[in-house]
Amino acid sequence: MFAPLAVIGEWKDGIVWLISFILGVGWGFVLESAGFGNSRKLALQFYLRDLTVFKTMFSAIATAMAGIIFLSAFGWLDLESMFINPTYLWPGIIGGLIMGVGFAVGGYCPGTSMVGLATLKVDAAFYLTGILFGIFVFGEIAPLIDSFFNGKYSGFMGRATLPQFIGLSAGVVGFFVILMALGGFWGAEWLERRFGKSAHRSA
Amino acid sequence: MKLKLKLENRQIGIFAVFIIAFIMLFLPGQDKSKYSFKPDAIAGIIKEGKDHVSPGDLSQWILEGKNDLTLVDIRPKEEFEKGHIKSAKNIPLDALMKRSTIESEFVDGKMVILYSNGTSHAAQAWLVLKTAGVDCYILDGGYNYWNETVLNPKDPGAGAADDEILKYQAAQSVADYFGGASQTKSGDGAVKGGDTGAKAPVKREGKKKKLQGC
Amino acid sequence: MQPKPYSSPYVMGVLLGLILLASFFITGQGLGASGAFQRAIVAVEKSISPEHVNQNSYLAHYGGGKENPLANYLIFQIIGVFVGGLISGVMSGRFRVEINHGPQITDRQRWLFAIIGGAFFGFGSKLARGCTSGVALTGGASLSLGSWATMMAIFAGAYATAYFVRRLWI
Repeated sequence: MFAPLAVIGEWKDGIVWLISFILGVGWGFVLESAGFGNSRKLALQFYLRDLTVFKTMFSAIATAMAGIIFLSAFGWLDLESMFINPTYLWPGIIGGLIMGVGFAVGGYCPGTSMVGLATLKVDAAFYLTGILFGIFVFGEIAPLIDSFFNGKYSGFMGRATLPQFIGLSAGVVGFFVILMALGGFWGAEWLERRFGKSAHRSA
Repeated sequence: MKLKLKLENRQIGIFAVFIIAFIMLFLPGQDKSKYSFKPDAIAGIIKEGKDHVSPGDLSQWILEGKNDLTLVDIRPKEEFEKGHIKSAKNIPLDALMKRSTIESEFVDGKMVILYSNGTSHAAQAWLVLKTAGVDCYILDGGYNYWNETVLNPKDPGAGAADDEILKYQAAQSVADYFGGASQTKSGDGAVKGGDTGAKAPVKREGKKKKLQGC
Repeated sequence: MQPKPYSSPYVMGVLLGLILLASFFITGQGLGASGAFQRAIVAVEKSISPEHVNQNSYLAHYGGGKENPLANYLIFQIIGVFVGGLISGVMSGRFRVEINHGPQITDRQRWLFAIIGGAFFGFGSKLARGCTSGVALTGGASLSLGSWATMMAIFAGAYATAYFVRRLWI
């Protein structure tokens, strides 16, 4: 097991930051190429007219997931040393719902709003301001809701993963995720054909 | 002509995806517990004292309802039943040191705190669990020390400063929560609950630098 | 310059997945955006009032005491995102001032709703410990249980709200 390289090899922070920067450049480039700098394009997914977000996101998730499964099966990537988002079930779900509201109203998410800002979308700048404000407010009330956020009522389940939860191996879960994604893509294409005709001109 | 080419690309893509997915179905998963023998890493942890937690921290965490915590009493069943720390679960040492126990009880990523009457047995259990990749700690001084400090806080005496007295009263309510016998009950009923106002509890250290998400 | 058409979402998705995979493989972490904004806020708060940061158990985790909240890979990553988006925008002809919204509202109204939407999103992202990149993409790929739950909650919340704000977009 020699990966994650920076963890096993105990690389210095500076190198990790440089690499993160480079990866970020790639990420931002890909996002913009796919059109995610445009808030209207992003929002149209919720009206089933432009499902680019769904296609891109699930292609990405499936690809990375497959890579992780293969690499860990070869014994190259050590899952225990890799970051797996810890599960805090209830704040995760409530926070997710709130984020959903924000996405539908604002048309962006933090990563895409940065891309929007980089391509001079004025509304992205306003969105970013809103994000900063929302984060600030959360920081102020966070200690008050600690038992929900962190403690007894958070539904904390550690580094729980779908394979652990369902009881199947990661490879099997991955297989079904890929099948679901393919089905989703087929469905997305169908929906876009049905509802999307009026959406293909840019705003 | 161009359209036909595009469709072909797409079909190749889907075909490739199916093959990959099919292979994935049969891939072995990673062994849940990471058994690793890293004596120098363990030595480092011991030297820095990162293998211990204090009774003060533990009582704070239990009071807060911190639920990424598993408290394990490794003494025999009879001793556990005579008296144990609130919220502890009993896994006697001989049962603990079995591969099947380790692989079933300690896979949820929670912080594990071990205690025995003193510390030697807990330390032995600690070594074993540590090599099995469990994030575990020894309770300083064990159950004996817990009894001395948390369950029987020292009365600072009549001439003590105000904050000493407040701390003592807070410590008494902690002791009551854990079922201890306080030597002198405080006269008025206005004892502050839970919050001792002492320093913030020690942050949990991971075995390497702890990876955080965003 | 006439803007070029958008690239194929599937190809872009696979590329993004490879970048995400590289991130896990090299650094052990995934991609994330909201964390960078959180740290920026903490850094500002710290420069105005360090005591406030130290006293708040949540903020202290990011920037309390001697910790520099900006000394973190997320900051460098989000700067990279900006640069990457900029490069792609310039290369594709999409680098121009625009205010995107549906035909039924004005620019000003869009700005107002952008702020409101951003505020909701920012708040929710910290409650859920991540945004769509940090949770849905990164957590989704690592098959984290909570991440999939959060991901579904995001889309559920968005689709449910979309009907009520449709005037903004269509």
